[in-house]
This record gives sequence, C-alpha cells and structure tokens, in this order.
Amino acid sequence: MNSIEEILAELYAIDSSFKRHEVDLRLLIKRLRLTKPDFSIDDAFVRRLRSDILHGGKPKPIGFLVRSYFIQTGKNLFRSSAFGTAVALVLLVPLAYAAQIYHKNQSGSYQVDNAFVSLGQQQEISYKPQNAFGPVALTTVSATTAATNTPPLPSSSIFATIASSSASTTEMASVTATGTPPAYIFTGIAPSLQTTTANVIETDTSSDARSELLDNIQNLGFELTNITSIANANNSVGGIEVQESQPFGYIVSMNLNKMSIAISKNSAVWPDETYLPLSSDTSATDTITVALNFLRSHNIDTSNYGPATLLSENSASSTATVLLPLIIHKQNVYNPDGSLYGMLVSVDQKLEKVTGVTGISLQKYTASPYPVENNFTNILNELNATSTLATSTATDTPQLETPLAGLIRYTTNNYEFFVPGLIFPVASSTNSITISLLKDSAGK
Amino acid sequence: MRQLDNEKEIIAHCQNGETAFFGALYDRYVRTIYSFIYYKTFHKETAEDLTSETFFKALNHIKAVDPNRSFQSWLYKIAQNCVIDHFRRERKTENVDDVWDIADNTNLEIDANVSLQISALRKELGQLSHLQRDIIIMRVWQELSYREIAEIVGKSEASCKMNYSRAVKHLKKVVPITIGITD
Repeated sequence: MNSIEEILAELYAIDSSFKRHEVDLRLLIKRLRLTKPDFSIDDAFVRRLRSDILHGGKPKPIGFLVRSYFIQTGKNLFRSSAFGTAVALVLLVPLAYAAQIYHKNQSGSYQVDNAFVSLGQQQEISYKPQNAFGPVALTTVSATTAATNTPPLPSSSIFATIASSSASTTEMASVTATGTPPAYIFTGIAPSLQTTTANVIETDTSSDARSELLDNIQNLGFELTNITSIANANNSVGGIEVQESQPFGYIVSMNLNKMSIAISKNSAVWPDETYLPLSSDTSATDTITVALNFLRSHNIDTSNYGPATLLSENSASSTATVLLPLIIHKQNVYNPDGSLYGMLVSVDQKLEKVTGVTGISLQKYTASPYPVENNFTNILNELNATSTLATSTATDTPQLETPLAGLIRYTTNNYEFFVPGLIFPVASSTNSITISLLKDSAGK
Repeated sequence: MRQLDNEKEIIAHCQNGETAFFGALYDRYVRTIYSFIYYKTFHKETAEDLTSETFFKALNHIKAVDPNRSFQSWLYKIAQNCVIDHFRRERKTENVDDVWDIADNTNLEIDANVSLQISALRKELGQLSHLQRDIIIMRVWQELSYREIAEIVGKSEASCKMNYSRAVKHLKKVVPITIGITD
C-alpha cells in the first residue's frame, strides 16, 4: 500500500505549495484511507462467474430486476408489428398478488421517484377542502418584489407575497436566527408574508387520472396499442414496462400507482459507445436541441415547463443533462436541496442521442389548504434549529440571501407533495437551503 | 490449455474465437473491476451483478479491442458505463452516475456495514466532479498508477495529476479534520 509519505511526496511534486499544509494534508489522507470501505469479494461468486462466462452462460437480467412491491409476471406479452419494431411488455402487479418475487431490496422500497409522465396538455389543479381547517378559497396574490438581484417571482403566488421596501429592508435585514452561535446569518431582504393559509399540492392518483394517463401513453410514439385494455383487464396491474428491442431502443416504465413514467435507454440494444465511431462532443446549444427534438418527436408536452437549460455535463461519460423546470400554478418547483425540479433529459453528447427522460409531469393535481407560518423571524429560528447545512460546510457561518418563493417537492414511497416554501441562496456557495412554510412542519 | 502471460497474445486468441483464453483476462482483472464497481455502488449484490455484466460485455465485444491500447482501461470503461446505466435504471430521477451523487438522506440500497463508514465522506466526495472523484478512488483506494488512471479516464497523466491536486485542495477545505487522528 502507498504510504502517506509517498502520497504526500507525489502531491508536493505536483504542487509544491502543498508543503505549507502538511499537517492538514496528512490528516486528510489519513481520513480518506481510514474511510476506505472494507469489503471482501465472494470467492464462490468469482468461481461461478468464471464458469458461466467460459461455458456460455448469461448474465443476470439486471434491467429486469423489479424490487420490492412489484414482481415481474410475464414478458414478451406484446409485440407490435408496425415498422417491424419489436416491443416487449412487462406487467408489474403488487406484491399481494405475487406468485414469485424476483428481488427485494433491503429497505423494502421501490422508487421511481420523479418520473411523472407527462402527457397532459393543460395543467389541472382541483381543490379539495382540508377537513381540519375547513374549505378555504384559493387566493391568488400578485407578487411584487423590488429586491435587486432577486430573480423575478412568478406572476402570481398562491401563498405569499414577498414585498420589500426600504423600511422593511432596514428593519428586517438585521434579523438573525436566535441561538448561540447562530447557524445562519440572514443578509438578504426579508419578505413580508401576507397569508395564513396555502395549498399543498399532490399528484392526482384518482381512477380518472389513471385512465387519462393510460389514454395518453398511446401518444408516446412507441407504437403501443391496447395499453388501456391490458391495464384495465386487471386492476391489480401496478406498472407496465415496455422494452423496445430495435437498436437504440428505449425502456418505458409506467407506474400506475404513482402516475409516473420514466424513459431510459434499453442498454441491451444500445451499442456501447466504446465500439462506435464517435463525433466530437456537441455544444450546449446542440445538446439542448437534441433533447427538445426527442421530446417533440415523442409528443411529450413541454408547455408547463420553463426554458430548457444545460444543467450539467459529465466529461467522463460524455453525457449532459438538460433541465426543463416544472412550473405548477405559475410557481417554480424546487427540490429540498434548493435546486430546481423539473423534467431531466439525459443526452449522450457523442452519440447525440437522448438516453433518458425523467420528471415528466401529468400536470393533474389536487390541492388542499393548510395554515402557514408568516412570521419571518419564526421561520429563521426554525431554520436555525433544524437545518444541518451550517454544520456540514465550511467554518464560516453561512449567510442567507433574499429568499425565493416556490413549491418544494417532497416524496415518500407512495406520495408526492408540493409544499409552499422559501428557498434561501447561500452566499459564496452553490448551495441553497429550503424551508416549508407549513405550520408545525417547517424545517422538517 | 497453455498458459499465456502476454496480454496481447491472449486477446488475439480470444479475438480468433478461442474464448477459453478469456479466463486469463478474467482472473487478472475480476477483483480490480469488482472493487471499482463496489466503490461506486457499495452494495454487494449490485457489484456482483455489474461485474458479471461487465465481463460478459467484454467477452461479447472482444473483437472490438484495439490490441495496441490498454485492455484494462477498456474494461474500466465498460464497467463505468454499466454503473451509470444501473443508476439510471434504478433511480430514474437525477443525473446520478454513482453512489456519491446521491444525498445521504436518500433511501438508498447500500451495505449496512459501509453506510456508517462512508456517511461522513458522502457529502464531501459528492461535491467533487465525477472525474476528480474517480481519480481519488483509483489513486487512494485502488492504488492505481497515474499511467493506469490516465488510460482509464482518457486524459493525460498531467491532467490526472492536476485534477487530483485540485480534488485534494477542495477536500482540504471542506473535510472537517478531527483532532486525535494521528499516524
């Protein structure tokens, strides 16, 4: 094993300024080596795999592993003759109806988290009264903001108006979270929250929405027919997986309980790019064009999403991700880590092909009003008491800037919620922190 | 079957259809590839599945190997793609290329004994670029040479060293140093 001295020596050879930090580096390397996970390779596995490979066995069909609540009950049930495209259809039914479990994971969960298919042309939100608080009419309040450096808020906000004035700025900018020492220092312009209730939005999983999802799946451009009749023939069908078998085909996974769909490349029929003549990497503009063309050709509606942007590039795998931010009721949706949530399109830049699409929303929601916290000092105190950012980053106390208003998306195994919240950018950091405005749940 | 040490010769035999020679390549690399995959998944069964997938793909495409280039780096590339495909299949949510991209509060299937071990590092290594993270793992944990790493990631040795030093600088800033750790 390389000694710490050897690792230090090679670092000094690369950059002599490292010598000034020898103590820190020594501790860092020590820590990295100490946290190297212990594992032992199973010799029986090594022998078995060797035998399988050399004697013509086949690898386990990893792509078909269905975890936990679902089992695989059949495949090759459907074959489309159109354009000679072969499609394998896999029905997934809940465990309660299972005869055979393929694989169950340790946590007992099956997550197809954000793949909300999308085929809805109009955004629909139906409102249902929340019993504990009685029905509350939807209130749309125009948002105004004068904060210089604050991105524009949606033209309407269902839960809060963020207003800033010189007076409130002077008064509120000095607000810091209580506690010693403070986990955060708030340096932005404090919002004025002028509402006492706001709607929590959920994906509509009613039977009507399910039927609509099934109807719209026909439009995906995968030469599918009779999906609805197949699914309706057995109410226990919880999911459908369609696999295209032609070169560069895709897998479409539909979860009928969570109203979600994910599209991913069918690796079994994609040539590994290691073996292909490849073009040079495409530009950001080209990458976005590849993504949008794919969505267009598969009839995936993007009218309820913001403009596409290049989210990230991975030079090692020549892949890039294009984000189309989801907009619900004119509000941006954020992940709990403060990043924008939306439809993610993965693009192989060398093949110039889409390798997956997730986060496509059916755009059918239900909404229920809940009481919200509108005292900003209380919100800061809650942040101070509950969030972990301050203890997990650098030594300086994080400085929170003027918050944005939006919906924060939370998920459980079976549900997806969009909760009104605030998103605080952190100065000199790409991190943001978020807090729900719901009373009794802020910060949780 | 006679034993061959020369990798090019072994590959040539495999490319001529004598796939029994593939066993020598398998024996040489199975543990390295398994450990690489394990450090990206931290789940024994998944690592076994993906190791299996990697070697089956390698055998099925052995004719595509350029004998003048490193077989090891080609194998790593296949393993890397298998891992990426795995996370895209499993998570279907984010741009997740390995376990380090996933927040530590995410319901993730990883070995229980490793979970505690790496929890402190998850956030810090997760902040590095994929390339920097791979280089740290390959250099510090797998102890590959810069030449080997450069071949695997498709960069020059100088570029790998530069990325390594940048990663260390970044980690030095964000990793809390615990007093009491000594040599």
